[in-house]
Amino acid sequence: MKKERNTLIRWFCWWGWDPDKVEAWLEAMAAEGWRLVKADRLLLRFHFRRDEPKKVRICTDYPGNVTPEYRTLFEDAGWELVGEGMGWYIWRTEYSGAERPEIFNGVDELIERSQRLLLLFVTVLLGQLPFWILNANRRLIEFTTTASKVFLVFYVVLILVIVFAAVATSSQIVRLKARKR
Amino acid sequence: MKLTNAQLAYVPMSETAYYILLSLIEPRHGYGIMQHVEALTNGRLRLGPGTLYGSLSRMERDGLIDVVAEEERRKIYQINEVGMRVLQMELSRLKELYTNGAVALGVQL
Repeated sequence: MKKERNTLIRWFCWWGWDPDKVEAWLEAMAAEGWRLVKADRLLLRFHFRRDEPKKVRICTDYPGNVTPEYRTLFEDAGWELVGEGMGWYIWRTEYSGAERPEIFNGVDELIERSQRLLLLFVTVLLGQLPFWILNANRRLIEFTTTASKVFLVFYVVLILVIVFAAVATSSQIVRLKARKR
Repeated sequence: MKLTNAQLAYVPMSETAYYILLSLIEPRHGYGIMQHVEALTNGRLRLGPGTLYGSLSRMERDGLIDVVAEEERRKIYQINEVGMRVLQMELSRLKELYTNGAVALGVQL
């Protein structure tokens, strides 16, 4: 007899300025009968278990520094924590009616979530400033050894990624503010 | 007692902030607030836990509410004098809105 598969592990790439995609994907998986058990590896890897197809709402939050009350409040309200990492929380709840449960009542909270993320990127970039000032008189020619060249390439790519993330998050904030009007 | 700019900025108030402050005339924890607001509005307004957590943190920081007890990772909040002042300011604003609207539309007050 063929044994049916009961667990599933999937990777899904998503970005902090556009978490709607991962929420929608996880909700679609639940509708197909895959229950999200946990998320790990930078919240990019998702573990599922076979379940009945269910109407599920998945919400992502980036709340900043939280007190222990944060978790209690969500759990009292019927939400289950399925993943946590790098300041992000992934919450899951089942529902039956037409009204889709939300962790936020308005757009303001979504804007604040993106603003906290933007603050992180800007802080990291500003933190590089002393390093750039100290190295301002160095020439690129000085990066002669392979190790220093590899470092330079990695470093430049990393900075570009963070700059891109900051720009993407800012434009998300602008889009959300437009939705308010 | 003079209110700070941060405290004055609560008026005009969002619907969620208004009902949260109104609930805290009695001491309540977060989930207690959710249940109370849902009952008060006949199920219309269901506070999301993310919204509630953010509002409570902000109101506590700005000195509108106090933590009066803490049990099993649940804080019990209550409105203080500043919160009451802010709530009364909002209420007179709502009263003006309502009165003008009622007069203009010929609704009996």
